Amino acid sequence: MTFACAPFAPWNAVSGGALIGLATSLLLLAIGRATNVSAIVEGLLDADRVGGRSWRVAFIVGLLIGPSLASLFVPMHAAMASATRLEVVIGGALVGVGAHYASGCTTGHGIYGLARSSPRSFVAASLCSLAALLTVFVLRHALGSAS
Amino acid sequence: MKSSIVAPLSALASGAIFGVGVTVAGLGDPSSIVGALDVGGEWDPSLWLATAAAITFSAIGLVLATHRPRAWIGTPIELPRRRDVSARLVVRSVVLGVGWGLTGFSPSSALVAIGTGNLEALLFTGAMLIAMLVARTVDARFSRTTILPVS
Repeated sequence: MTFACAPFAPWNAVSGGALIGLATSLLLLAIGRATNVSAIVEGLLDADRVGGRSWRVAFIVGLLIGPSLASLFVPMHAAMASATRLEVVIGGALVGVGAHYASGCTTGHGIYGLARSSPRSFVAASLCSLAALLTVFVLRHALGSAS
Repeated sequence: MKSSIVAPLSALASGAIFGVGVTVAGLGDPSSIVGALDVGGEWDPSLWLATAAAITFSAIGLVLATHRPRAWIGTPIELPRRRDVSARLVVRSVVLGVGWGLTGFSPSSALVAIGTGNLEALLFTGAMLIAMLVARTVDARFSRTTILPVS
């Protein structure tokens, strides 16, 4: 499988975002959990959390089958690599340290925290986005490496 | 049905809807994320449109949840209560943002991209998990604060 996502269209972005919001609402109303994907993943590392593990695994399996389900409804195109493998490993490690202990995550703060209008999440999401914007600007323009 | 079955089934459905949403919005493609962050280049606003829609629809669930004390499976609805802003939060958010901008992957979009057979996403998630394990070990050994369980 080489497909990754639908091509950009404003309607796709809005309907995809709405589905993400429906998913967080379902998780909250059904099992009473806030959707914070990095915390759901990190919860798997807790050895003493056997009772709370099955729903985490199920949620992650759902994420993994998402593209296959979506390919039934929308046309797909191949993903384009935006970073080298070394950058991917470094970036993954940075995200792991940054998100650890549910301190910050694009979903947990950026979507869910902002929906809760939490000042903690507003600061986290803003700083995270600013740092990301700056990183992209430095890599793409200041250093001039069109990766 | 027993809650032991309903909980994982609901989580599976939620994850699948989330994954479909990320895919439809085009966010499983890291170049789309970087495009949304690249204000100096060919700007792609899909990430911001999708985020605004996701916040709106998440808020609907939150409003519905405030009128009920318990979830469908009978357990209390657990929402993060912390609203404080600490130095640690600031540092970690910046570190996370650099990693996000560098790769175009977030924890959720990387998992969705793994579902498309994206090897970079698998590398990203592996590195993220190892970093989380290392950070937990370092915190447990050198920090005097108690380790907060992940919600």
